[in-house]
Amino acid sequence: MNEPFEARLQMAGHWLQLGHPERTLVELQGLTGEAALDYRAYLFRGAALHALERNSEAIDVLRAGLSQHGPVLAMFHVLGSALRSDGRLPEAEAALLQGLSIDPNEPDLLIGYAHVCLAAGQAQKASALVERAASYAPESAAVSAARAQVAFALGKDRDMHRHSTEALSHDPEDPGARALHGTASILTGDARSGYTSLASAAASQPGDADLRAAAREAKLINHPLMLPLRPFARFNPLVVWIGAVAVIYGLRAVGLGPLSFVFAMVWLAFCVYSWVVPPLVRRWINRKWGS
Amino acid sequence: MPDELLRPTIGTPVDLSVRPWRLMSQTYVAFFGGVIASTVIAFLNARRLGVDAVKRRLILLTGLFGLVAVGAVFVLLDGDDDMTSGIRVGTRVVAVLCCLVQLRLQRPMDRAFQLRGTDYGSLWGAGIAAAVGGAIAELFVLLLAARVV
Repeated sequence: MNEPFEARLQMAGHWLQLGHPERTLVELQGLTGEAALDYRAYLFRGAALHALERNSEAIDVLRAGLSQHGPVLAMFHVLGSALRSDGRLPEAEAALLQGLSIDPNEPDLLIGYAHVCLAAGQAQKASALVERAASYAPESAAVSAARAQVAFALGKDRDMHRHSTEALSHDPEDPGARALHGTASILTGDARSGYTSLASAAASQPGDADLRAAAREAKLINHPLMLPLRPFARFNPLVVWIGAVAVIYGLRAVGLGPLSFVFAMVWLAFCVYSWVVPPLVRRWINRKWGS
Repeated sequence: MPDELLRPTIGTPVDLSVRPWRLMSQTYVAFFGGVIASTVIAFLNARRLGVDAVKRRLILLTGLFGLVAVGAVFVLLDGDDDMTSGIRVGTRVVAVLCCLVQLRLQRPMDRAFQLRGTDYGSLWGAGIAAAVGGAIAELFVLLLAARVV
């Protein structure tokens, strides 16, 4: 292959790594002849389309690449991921298992399969797959991030926080790790660092609407007007409700009727506050951010 | 030796156009609508989330227990005028406790849904309908039970 084409392919891969999949596609458009059929051209195009959430196109490209070049493990990995994002979980599983039949210990494929299991609600199996990947790539950010996702699926929020902090220590710039860390911080009651992580993740991935929305929600939780509502975010709102009802009727039962009435009125005011203020603050933040 | 971990275990694709409801929103339906409303919403949502049949049956069973408990509250506190507010609170507490169990049953698949990264649906319409319909149905069931007892 001649030099300009090789440079173009490398540039395409480079843009992909930097999180600019649209530029990857532009670079790949310039390839012709033999270079356009290089396995990396299929792989990068598939990965770029997947990153842009054009998953059905990504799946077609990667399947064409696999039939052209035979089994390439990295292609199975991206194909599995694109199929998973498209909701085609059994096909994603089949693609990843096909890759794993060639190398059963390939950490990326094991983690990719774990993600498919998580999407299907099979968190225990996902956990076992991630641990197998960890035994082959113990110091990887991907393993820590996957462990954090498994902990989230299992409802173990503190473990999620620990693993996402670990993932951040491997790569403090990684937007995925920051997003996980932000979510874990909010779940464990640290709304401030949750916002910091989510906002920086959203800033480095400007195209990701979900991250933007999550950062905006975190900003909402941190607003001073939302401070009185922290108990709702921290505990289950139902538990707070039951507590309030217990206090109201408890006071009445021990003969403190007026006090019970005062508490009930305060509680009512608090409820009205909890219904009225969040939408107002949300509207205000949205206007400031420009939705 | 066959590798157990690398055996396919996923049978069905997920329909990404199906939008489940937020778990926390269901608590309002339980509070305002009672046990029947909470159970209907939890059952429908469990189907949207892809919760397995055993757990879906457990959701229904929880609702049934809740309804029996509401009946018991009704029988125990009935006949005393001061206690009508007691009945109101008691049935609500039962509905809320029921709802907590039903949320717990949905949670693993709700987390899986969140990891898939698609959006929730709005519970406003279905929630209000279930709350109103559930409250009326509950009243009807209790009156019928009171007549039989």
